[in-house]
Amino acid sequence: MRHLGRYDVLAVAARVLRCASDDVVRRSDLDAIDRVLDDVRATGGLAEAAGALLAGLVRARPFDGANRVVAVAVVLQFVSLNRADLQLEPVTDVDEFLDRIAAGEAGSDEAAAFVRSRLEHHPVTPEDLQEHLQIELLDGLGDLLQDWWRGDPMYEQFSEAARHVIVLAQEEARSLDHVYVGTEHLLLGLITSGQGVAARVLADLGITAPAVRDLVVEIIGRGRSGASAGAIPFTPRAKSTFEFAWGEARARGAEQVGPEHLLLGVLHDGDGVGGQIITKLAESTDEVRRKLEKRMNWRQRSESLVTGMLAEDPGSTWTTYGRRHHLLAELNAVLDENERLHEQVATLRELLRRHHIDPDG
Amino acid sequence: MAKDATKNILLRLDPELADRLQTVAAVEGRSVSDVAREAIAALVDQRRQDDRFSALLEENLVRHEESLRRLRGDD
Repeated sequence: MRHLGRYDVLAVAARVLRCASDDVVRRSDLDAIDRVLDDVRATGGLAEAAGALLAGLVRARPFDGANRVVAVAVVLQFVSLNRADLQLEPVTDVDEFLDRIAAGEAGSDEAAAFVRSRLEHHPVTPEDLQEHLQIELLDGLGDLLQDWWRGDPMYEQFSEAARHVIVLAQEEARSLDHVYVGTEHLLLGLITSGQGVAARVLADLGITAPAVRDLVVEIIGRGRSGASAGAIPFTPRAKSTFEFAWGEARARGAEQVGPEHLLLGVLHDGDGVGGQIITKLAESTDEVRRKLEKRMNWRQRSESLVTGMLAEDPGSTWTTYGRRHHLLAELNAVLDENERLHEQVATLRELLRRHHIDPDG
Repeated sequence: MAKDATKNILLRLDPELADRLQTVAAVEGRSVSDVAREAIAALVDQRRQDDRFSALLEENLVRHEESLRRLRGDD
């Protein structure tokens, strides 16, 4: 999301008030503007940010003269910089709502809901992406995303599950008519794959595909219908996520990059759209990372145990590479089942507690 | 907000920048507020001269001109 700075706000005010820049500086409460902008930066989605901006400027009244008109003009400039527009008609409703803000009867949350109901997103175009998000559109990627990693030693190390996540990410991008695959689509791919540690951690935290899609539309908007036909390139942030995931996999002694390493990559780039969405829906990216690493470490310990046991087997003629992989796959299936059962037990215990029954009684 | 034509400005500045402002103000025999105001105005001018920013602003103001005109005042 593109945020406004102090000078942007003052430039809008100077234009609306039709005065010189030094005049607007003299006639404005700069500290109040800074405080409002700090609050705006602490929010997540576009509607929340625009709501905080509107509520903050109307309440603080930093502009000497026509504060309300300047505040609305600043919000219009903010949403348009983020490829959206705000419907101001009927104006009487806007006035009524601004009265409530000024009287302290409505705050940022109500303002966000008000803005959301009037927000119109512009379609995303390749030009927008190049200009606003500095995304390089790549040529010659071939027709099939499934083939995108061929010839690159890093991508050869991606597991089948990780590749499946990337294919799902491409499908998500297409369904939103986006002409690129970004970290937000990777996050959706991780969720919709529905399997593995990464999907499980996200599900446990209530980070669901519909909630993420809503936020993607709010932050980025939908693309122009049919714009995503053909090859869809990855954004530089998505490619950095792959590189980070590869580094994480190697650092952790994994033989392949799995979906969990991709999620670590998305979490690492907190400023990416995927990272922003996780921050918005979960407690924090650090919290998600802790939970993910806990599960990864637990699984890694179990796998090491099996590997160690096989290595110590004196009749090692059967502990071939293929046999070891087969056993690890079986172990993973057992661990998955075990996790599923644990979750069911936890849910049942919670239900018993809700009905005032001691589960251990 | 007070409607004085001129007032002291309250700004949160990092110490290094505040020192530099104080030096300029002392050398030029002006108040720190005055020097800061001038510097901020120059940056606002810069934003107003940004073609893309001002084109977008004009587009918005023209599109919503009628609605903005009908918005009630603050008082």
